[in-house]
Amino acid sequence: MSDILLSVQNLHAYYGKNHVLHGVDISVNKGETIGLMGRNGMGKSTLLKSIMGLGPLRTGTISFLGSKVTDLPPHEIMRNGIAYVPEGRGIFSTLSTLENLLMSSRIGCRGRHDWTLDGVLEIFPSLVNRLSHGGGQLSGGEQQMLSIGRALMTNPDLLILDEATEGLAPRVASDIWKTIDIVRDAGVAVIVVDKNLSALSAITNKIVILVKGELVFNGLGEKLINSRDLQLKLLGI
Amino acid sequence: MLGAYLAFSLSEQFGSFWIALPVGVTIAFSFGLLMEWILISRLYSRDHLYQVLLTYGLILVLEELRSLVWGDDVQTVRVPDILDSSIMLTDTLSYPIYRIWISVVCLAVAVGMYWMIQKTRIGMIVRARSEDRDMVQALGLNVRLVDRFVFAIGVALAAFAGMLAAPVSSVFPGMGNQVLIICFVVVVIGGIGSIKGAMLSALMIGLVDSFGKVVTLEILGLRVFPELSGMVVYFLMAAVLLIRPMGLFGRTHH
Repeated sequence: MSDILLSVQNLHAYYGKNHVLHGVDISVNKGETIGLMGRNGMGKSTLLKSIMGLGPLRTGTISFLGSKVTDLPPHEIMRNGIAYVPEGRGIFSTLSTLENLLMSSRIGCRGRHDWTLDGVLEIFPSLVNRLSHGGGQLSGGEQQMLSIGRALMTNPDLLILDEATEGLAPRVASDIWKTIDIVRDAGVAVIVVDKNLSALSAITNKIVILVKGELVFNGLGEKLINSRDLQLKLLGI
Repeated sequence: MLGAYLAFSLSEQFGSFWIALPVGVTIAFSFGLLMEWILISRLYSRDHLYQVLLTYGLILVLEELRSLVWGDDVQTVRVPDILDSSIMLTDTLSYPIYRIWISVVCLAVAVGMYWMIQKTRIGMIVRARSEDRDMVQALGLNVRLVDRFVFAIGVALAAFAGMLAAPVSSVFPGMGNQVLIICFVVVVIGGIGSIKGAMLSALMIGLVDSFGKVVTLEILGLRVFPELSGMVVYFLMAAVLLIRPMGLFGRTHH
């Protein structure tokens, strides 16, 4: 069996008449960690949403573990083993922390059950004292932990994290990076969007960069770190 | 309205209110599933106003169908024998057992709904869905199924209420309309989306309505103007909305 977990081929996406993604090809191997970068408005979130069927109109092919999922409704795509932590975290503020975790809980589709409530609370000990608090009362960092924990409760094979550390204090951000490390070590593939090149390249196998809806870079993080030219050209930093 | 007429037809059919009740609720539930599937589900992506217009249209259609099927006569549903008596509260005041039974059943349903929405996983998903539909989908949950069942349960509960009310209110054309408006007032005063609010405002409106009638008649002696008593409830709504536009327990949306 091949090692390819997710394969996206020739993905085009449209918001009305706006052509946002121009034939993106991307593939993620089992257990692989990929950093997705690009300036604002280059199509990162659109790419992620298109993969999950939550975004705009799209054409192209999306396969998960070899089977085509392009035309499935979003929840069925996700049930194949994808979990999503959106930009802005998507916490249900009227549900308590505990309820946020319990509502998504299920056994993974290939019988995976690594992540239980106890398991999730073990990697996020700061949530233990917050279980009865409303999701809206948590700090940004706690919300991000909760959102990752909630995603893990679905026992995914692939975790998608949009803007993993945006708006978080450096110390909290470093906690999040450590968590992604733990998740990766547990054998879950991860796609992370973030603006921190050095942190991303430290934990990912490769980095891909979108510019105006096209994939313009697909390679090792070191290559970017060592080239000011590339950084300036592709990321504007 | 549908519930009351179902109670009427089904208890004639089966000769028993007790069989009519579950059968009627099941029919209403299935009808709800069908309506959601054929009509309502197509409007979620649009403004709420479209749903209001569609459901209002449905009221008109159902009202005409009712006229075709059942005619325009006033019908009655017999109170089931076992509950067809009264207890004497004082020497001159008696209270029908059936009404007490309705109160108990309604309280039980309210507690049951509260428990389901606040304490079960299904309830968590329903609450989450009302907050962020896409996020619930992104967690691999079938929101379309959630929507369909929530709507159907709503229809079934409304029909259940109609069936319970049939023996005390008699069954007549347009009977749903009075209830509908009062229901709107209850929801608006309580705050949209709050069960606690709905409970409290329903009690409040019941009291204000009943006492409003007595008090206006006695103090002002308005025999000529009994309509005024019917307006008290709307004065209450206006007052609440002026002070708390989101209702008593409503959340403000940002």
